[in-house]
Amino acid sequence: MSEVILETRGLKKYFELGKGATLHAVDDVSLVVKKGTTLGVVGESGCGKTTLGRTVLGLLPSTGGQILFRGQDTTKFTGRQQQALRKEMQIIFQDPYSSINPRHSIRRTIAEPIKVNRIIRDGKKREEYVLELMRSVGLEPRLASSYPHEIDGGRRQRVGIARALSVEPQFIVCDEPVSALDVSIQAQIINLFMDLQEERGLTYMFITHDLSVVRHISTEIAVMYLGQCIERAPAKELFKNPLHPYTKALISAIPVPSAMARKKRAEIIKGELTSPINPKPGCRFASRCPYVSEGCKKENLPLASMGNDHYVACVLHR
Amino acid sequence: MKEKRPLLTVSDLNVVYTSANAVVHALNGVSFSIGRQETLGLVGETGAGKTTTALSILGLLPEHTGQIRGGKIVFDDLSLLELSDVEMQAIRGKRISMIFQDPMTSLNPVMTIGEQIEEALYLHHSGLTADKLKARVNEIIELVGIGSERRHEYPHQFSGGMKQRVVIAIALACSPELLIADEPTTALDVTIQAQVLNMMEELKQRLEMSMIMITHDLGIVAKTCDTVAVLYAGEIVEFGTFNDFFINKLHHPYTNGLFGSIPDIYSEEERLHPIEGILPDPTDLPGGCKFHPRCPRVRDICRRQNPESLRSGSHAVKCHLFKEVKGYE
Repeated sequence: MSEVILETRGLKKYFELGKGATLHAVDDVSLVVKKGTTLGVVGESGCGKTTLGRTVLGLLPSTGGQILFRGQDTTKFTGRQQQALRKEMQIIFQDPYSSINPRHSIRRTIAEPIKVNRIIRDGKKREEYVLELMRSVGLEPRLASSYPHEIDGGRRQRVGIARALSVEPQFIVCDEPVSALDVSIQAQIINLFMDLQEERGLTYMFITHDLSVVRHISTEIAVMYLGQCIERAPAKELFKNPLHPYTKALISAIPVPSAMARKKRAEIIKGELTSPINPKPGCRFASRCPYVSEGCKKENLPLASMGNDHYVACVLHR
Repeated sequence: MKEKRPLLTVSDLNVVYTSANAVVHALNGVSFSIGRQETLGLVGETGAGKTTTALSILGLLPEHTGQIRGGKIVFDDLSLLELSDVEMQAIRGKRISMIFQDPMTSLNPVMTIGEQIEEALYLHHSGLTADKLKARVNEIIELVGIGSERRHEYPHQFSGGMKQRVVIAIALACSPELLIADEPTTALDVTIQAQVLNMMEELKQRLEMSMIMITHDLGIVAKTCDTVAVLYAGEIVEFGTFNDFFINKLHHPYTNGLFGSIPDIYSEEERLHPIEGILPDPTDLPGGCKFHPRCPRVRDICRRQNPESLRSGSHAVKCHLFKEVKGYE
């Protein structure tokens, strides 16, 4: 149960912008994901969560640090090894409209990874397998010959899920897989993710900006701010006892549909995300933090353990 | 003191979109009203008719394809659907304004934000002198929390949240009586959303406006609205006050479904309770109650007959099941 499937150690992904400017998209992120669990990665736009997901998969080369997938450092893999890794690690994208080829039928879209990776060579068996996959994600087999424009967003996202599952991966990065969907459909897809995890023992890295979604699906949650992981804790613990001022602000900013929420005044933080280009030393949240002090601006604090598997990077919790 | 007479009354509004080979029934008999200084939440999913309602009020339905097939919109004694284009122009942007969902596309990229706010003012107050115009622009920019020294900057120099503030500033330039906000914070991050919602609430109080808040997020409704209308397939299936929605527990099955679909951060429950199925095709709506194919409590009558709206006090529900609930008639 507690076997570690993926670990990142000091993972960095910088983008050189020229003229000496470097964008620190992912900066020194260390995470551990255990088999059969879900790590939720939350943060606002520009915090580096998508870049983190893609770097972990090897879709973007890392700038520094290690990515250990079942103990092997994938940053040192050759092209061929990377290709083999695709069968183990898959991704589901945010936008079901642009991540599926509009000129391929549903059947062809789902079958493609099976063909490319030469998993099932026999055409008839492959067809059976595709139909079975479709059923397992809640798609009627009669849709196999349909094209993406003929089906709605929720079904399209199911196609994306079936395609990712087709190579029977161990680990799936889900990059905002429900944020383009309507609420009633969103709930269906979240439940599907949870069912598939139970049936297949999948491990997810679930990237989203929506804390309430992540609360539901995650075993553990990592909160990111400007490329850094600033707090990490088991899901329940994080919501019960958020420590970092940014995490607190995020949680209190969620509009809750209840009468009580109206009376409670949210703790609103001022300002906006600062630039991740050539960041200054010190806590990157300092300019917006209501509890900022001199100590915040000196150096970058690493995550420190607070017990209960709870880690936080903040001067207030030393 | 609030006046008793509503500011805006929409009754039995029917809107269709026509194309070469299909007729989309976007609104099917929508009725509601908004009192002065009230906020109405218009809730629904994609294609429910939220934006169509807003565009109908402003007379902005796409020409040729969008048609109002019946109904009335009365704004402060004026029957909007009977006004000429010129008369409507005098209201649009001055007495009723709108904020669109996407701040990235609703600003002109080649005009400074100061010019864009000035434009709105100039169109409706042509008598103002240049100095007065300038002073008013500065005042409005400061009102939405942007330093007036930024008036000479272009939209691309602003972040998403700041752009939405600019859009709000343009909408508020002429101190409208009614502000229609179409998903004003959907494109924004949560912490920025909280900032913008708070600011809108403050401005609404200060400027004594009424507001229609169009959203798919019941959390935003709980935070900002006095009354709520739930739209499904072009019909209002439930209408009521804040208390009817968030204190009382009796709802239309669709509203219950919406509540069940939202992940609750305080609940220990793991699974969500989504609504099965998908929104009906608006070119081919089901007979009877439009929600019946997805309704967990569907009965025979629901398939045959479209229910009437049943009322109990301020609460109205369009569902056959409420015939058996005491007090609803």
